[in-house]
Amino acid sequence: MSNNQLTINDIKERLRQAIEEIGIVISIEDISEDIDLREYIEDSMQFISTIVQIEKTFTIEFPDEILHFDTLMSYNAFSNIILELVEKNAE
Amino acid sequence: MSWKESTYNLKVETEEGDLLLYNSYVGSKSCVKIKNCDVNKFNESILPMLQTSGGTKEHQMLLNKGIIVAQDEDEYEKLKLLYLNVVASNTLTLVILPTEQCNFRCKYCYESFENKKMTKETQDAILRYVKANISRYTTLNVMWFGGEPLVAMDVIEYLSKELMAICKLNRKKYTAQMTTNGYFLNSEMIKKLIDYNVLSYQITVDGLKENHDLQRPLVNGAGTFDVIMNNLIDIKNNCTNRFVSILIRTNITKEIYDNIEAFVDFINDNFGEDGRFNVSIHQAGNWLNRTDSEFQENLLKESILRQIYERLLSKNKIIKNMLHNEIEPGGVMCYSSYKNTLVISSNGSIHRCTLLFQDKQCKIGSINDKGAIIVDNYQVSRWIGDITYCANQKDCYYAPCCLGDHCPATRLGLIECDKEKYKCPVTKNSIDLLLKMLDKSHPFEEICV
Repeated sequence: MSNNQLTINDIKERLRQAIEEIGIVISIEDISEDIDLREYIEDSMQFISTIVQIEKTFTIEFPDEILHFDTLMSYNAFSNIILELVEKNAE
Repeated sequence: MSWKESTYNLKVETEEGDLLLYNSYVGSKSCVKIKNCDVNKFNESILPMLQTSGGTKEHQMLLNKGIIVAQDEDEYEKLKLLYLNVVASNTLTLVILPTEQCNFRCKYCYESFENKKMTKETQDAILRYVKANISRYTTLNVMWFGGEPLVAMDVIEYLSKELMAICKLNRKKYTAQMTTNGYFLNSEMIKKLIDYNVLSYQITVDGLKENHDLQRPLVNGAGTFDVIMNNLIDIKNNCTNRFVSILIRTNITKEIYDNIEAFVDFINDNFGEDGRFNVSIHQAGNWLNRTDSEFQENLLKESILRQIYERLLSKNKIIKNMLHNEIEPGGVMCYSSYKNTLVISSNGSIHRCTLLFQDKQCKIGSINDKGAIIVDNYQVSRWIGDITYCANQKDCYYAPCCLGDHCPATRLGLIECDKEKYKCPVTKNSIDLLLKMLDKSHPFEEICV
């Protein structure tokens, strides 16, 4: 799927699928509200693997200043960051 | 509500007249600096204020950093929880030796190089074991070890592809690390390995060229320093992946110690601006009494980690990117303490410790005639870290890092040493200096109280 004109809901679902591939399983119902992604990641190596997978999926690069564990505090906020980066790439 | 100072704090006065605070239960994120302060001032003026007056930004910050805790908090209960999370984590850790052959003949190496490349039967036994057991875990973590693992790249490729597929199918996380001598690890090789999720590497560089080539030659005696340095610089310049981390480990001997300042300059000049490269300093030892007899003269007899830090700090030779695992919670507890760790040697025998994997007494399992990995749970239980082993852990500021039993092989008497002396990790007596070094390379957050 192209990254063009994705909505926030598309991002949230693609993010869910992307991290499911690396073992972080979240139900569709859970992301309809909001969740703390930090609860699904146990250590720094898993954090890095997760970020690598997300960057690969969306063809984006997270700026260093947001590359910390607390960025994952809110699934919705994190999805918004991804959407912004995807849109920036498309410009 | 009232608060108290955490048992797990270390307070360090700097030469500049500041006070560094560190809490081992929180780890490196707790590090903070109070300007123009010393231990007396903190204990007599600042702490009493913090104990009673909550609500300020500074109070909240010290609370978040674990420096102060609620008055009624039993910190030993938290320590027990941390211990359980580390020792019985949901990660299955496999230390895999794809070959025990090596292209190096390091003077202090404890390996015998008897076993060759891992057979297809052993590889398939590993895959069957993971398929059968992965449902019990959230993550598979593979640590590639050897011999030199990159001599058996075909084994790494086959196992990585299959293990990643099993994890994907079962929706489990997969992470991987590698300990390599670095001779074959250039930017092309690392690109391949990144595809197999190998993002974290440990490479040994023993001082500058002359010392390194003496300590870590090829089988034919030729030096290896130039090749390794070319490879590392190639990776620095041509590997764009920001998540790769390369730990440069240095095993200090007499001559390296004598030239430590030049070595620090060299590492800082070449890698200091790239945060993907970190440095960790160790003391070379006569591991398992297998060190080359002539070379033993180069070994330092007494523990010198503290002297090294003191010397570097006094000359303002600051290692720009210093590894700081030893100040993280659980950071100095060996993986052989974890409930779910298997060391799988290239001939298929199962162990707990990479230092002792050739010792038959330390074997905890094997592959049976049907190709199944059989693990002896009694043997596993002997190795699991014992939080009650150290009698001082309730009062020791460092207990969250070592969790009372940093090296089960020492506790079990499998390594010849003074058991009492090595109850504490050697890193403990230089944490104050490490904190000073870290503050100078990446200044701690300052707090005004």
